[in-house]
Amino acid sequence: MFGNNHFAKYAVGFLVGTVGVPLLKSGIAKKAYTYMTAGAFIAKDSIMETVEKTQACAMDIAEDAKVIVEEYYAKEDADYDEALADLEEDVKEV
Amino acid sequence: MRYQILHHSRNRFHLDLAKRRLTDTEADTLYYALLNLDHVESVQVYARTAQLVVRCYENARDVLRYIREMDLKDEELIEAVPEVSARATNEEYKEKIVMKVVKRIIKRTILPVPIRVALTCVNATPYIVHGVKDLLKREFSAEIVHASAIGASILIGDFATASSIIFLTDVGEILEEWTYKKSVDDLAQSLALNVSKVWKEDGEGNVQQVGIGQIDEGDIIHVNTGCMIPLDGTVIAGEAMVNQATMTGESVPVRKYLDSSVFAGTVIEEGELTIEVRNVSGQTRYDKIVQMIEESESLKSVVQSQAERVVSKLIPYTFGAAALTFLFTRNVTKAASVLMVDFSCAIEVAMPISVLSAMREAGKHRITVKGGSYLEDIASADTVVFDKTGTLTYATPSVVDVIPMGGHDGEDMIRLAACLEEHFPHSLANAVVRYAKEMGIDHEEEHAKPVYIVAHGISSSIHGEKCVIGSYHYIFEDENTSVTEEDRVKLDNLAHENSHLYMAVGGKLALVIAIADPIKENAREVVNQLREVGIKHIVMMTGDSEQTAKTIAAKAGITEVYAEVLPEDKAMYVDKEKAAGRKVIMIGDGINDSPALSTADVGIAMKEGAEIAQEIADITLSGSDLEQLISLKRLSDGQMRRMRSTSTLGIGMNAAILVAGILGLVVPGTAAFLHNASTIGLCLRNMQDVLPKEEQ
Repeated sequence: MFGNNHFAKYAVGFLVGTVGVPLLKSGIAKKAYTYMTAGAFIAKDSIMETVEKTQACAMDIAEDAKVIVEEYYAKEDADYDEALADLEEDVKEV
Repeated sequence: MRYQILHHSRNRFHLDLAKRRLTDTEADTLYYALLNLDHVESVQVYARTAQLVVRCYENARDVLRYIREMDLKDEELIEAVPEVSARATNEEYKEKIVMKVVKRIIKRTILPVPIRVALTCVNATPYIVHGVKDLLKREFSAEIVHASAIGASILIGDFATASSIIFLTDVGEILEEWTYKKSVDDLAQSLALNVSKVWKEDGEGNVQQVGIGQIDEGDIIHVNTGCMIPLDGTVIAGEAMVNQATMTGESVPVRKYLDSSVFAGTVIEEGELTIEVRNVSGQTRYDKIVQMIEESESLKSVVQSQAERVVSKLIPYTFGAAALTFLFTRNVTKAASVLMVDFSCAIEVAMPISVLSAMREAGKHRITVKGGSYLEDIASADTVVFDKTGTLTYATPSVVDVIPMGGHDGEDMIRLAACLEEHFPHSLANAVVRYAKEMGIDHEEEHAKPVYIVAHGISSSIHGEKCVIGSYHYIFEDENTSVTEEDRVKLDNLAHENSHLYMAVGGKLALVIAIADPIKENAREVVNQLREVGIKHIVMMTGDSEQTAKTIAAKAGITEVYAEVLPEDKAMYVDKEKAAGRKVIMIGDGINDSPALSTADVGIAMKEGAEIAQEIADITLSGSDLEQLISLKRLSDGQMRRMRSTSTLGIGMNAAILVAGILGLVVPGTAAFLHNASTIGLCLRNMQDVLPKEEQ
């Protein structure tokens, strides 16, 4: 950024020391920090809210999936019983 | 409270409540109000987004109606929330872990490298400081290994690995803290005061039972033998030996007399006290219980302590191995890989989690286990001693026949008997009191103060005459009661399978009460199942008569029976078995079981029994189902298997990583990641339930 410009480096350092540090400690800056911190908390809450919504939806999906699985196995059982019944009938006829 | 149904399937409802969000108090109130309903199986409250997921057993419509009519500001519901909300605890720790993961993602993806490096060094400092401190104290702990792993990574310039180790170690610590807090809170909750009725003395000296909520500071209360002192106070009359184990941990009872202070939650072993109440609130007790649990040695199991000792011996060897690797391979990276592996991690973190998680799981089966070492003892136990009344038989025996003797009037005698019996916590006493109430026989306190003689009966006087009620042995052999000839015939014809209470007034037999003490339906099955799970020696001991004992034992399938046993004899038998090298479980519910309960390796009390038995016991079963015993034994066996597999897997996996590191198959980063991830994996596995999901 500065290359070999020593003057620029000294100038920036001077500014930071005289104007920068008091600026960072001033009341306005403190207010800015407060607002930023508040913003950070709100950001954290919004992350947690997203997590909650995702978790709730994921559980719903899992429930529906379980129902589908149950129906699948129920159908398999029914098919099996039907096939067995048919087989027994055939055996009887013989 | 209005809501919208977001999703529903059979008995599970996902509701969106008509609010932006719920405060912690509102969320807790909602959670516990619903959880306490009979039809509700589980509740999940999402406070920040005001969502609710309820799973019911049946009657979902009733539950939904209840939710619609519910008011979260209702005082009663707010009071129903326990001291420490499990929901709040779970939320707190879930948030900690989520935020940790999010911060890590931000750090890795957004922050520029120099800041990342600086942050890593800052985060590493506490670990390194801790490790150096332990090194100076010459204590070889896991902290040293963590510090060396992190330090070594930083030294070779591998900041990514260092931050990965710090992250995974932190996550492991949060999981451990979470499990610990959940288990201690659950345990404290179940140990907390469950007294509802208290004997209060009013201005004129009359004593009445009132709800504990109606007692104010300065009120006078009576506490009898075997009962718990419900509130802090000062003794104004009477003398007693009080067991203060719940407060101070000392198992030797303390003598309390005029002007002594007594504490809520302590139990009277012998004697009676009249107490002026000083402190009505229950808050102070909860903290004391938590403190007692945390300080108690029995929280850790013996196997766990042994494993920890073994593993901490291995730590110096890890350093040795790292040094050797460096000498032989001249490769810093390989040496650093060796330091990443730490055998003690899995043992020190995953094992406590498994013990605490087992205790919590026992709680789900409504079994309160007061320490991890007791689960161990149950797993290795081979002898079970059963008490009869209230344990093998229902805690609610009922009166089947009343035989007045000596020409007295049946009703008068019942009145007198009920009057005496209502002061004492014994299932037979309760049966008499209940019978009197059913018959509509009221009484006023006409007698002098009743004295309870453990395992014998009650002695008092009425209108100048001595009045005693109790067992055959007490009435006839100790008190030498006389019987008329015709009454003697009646005596001989009494049915054998009932228990009998005899009452004598003025030295003459006045009344015989026949009480049927039916055996629990599943007693025989439970006894058989106990044999199947490895209990070789099953014994029944009771203070009741030979005949009744034999009948019940035969029905239960127990061959070794001892009848007419005194409390000290029960304890002596337990000692004898222990001396013979057996591990003994004692199960009882009454005051007369207390000595045996404390000498047994594991003492189990039924929750409906005398409070002193519950205080002394190591494990309490609530809901009078003996099946819980089987669940307990299976849980303990599963828990021991889990602990063994934790140490095997922990050492095995780490050894594999170690070898891979030496051979150069993995870089320190991968080694650290594998080590920490496997530890966390073990932790998560140990947090799962041991027993398969069963219907409650």
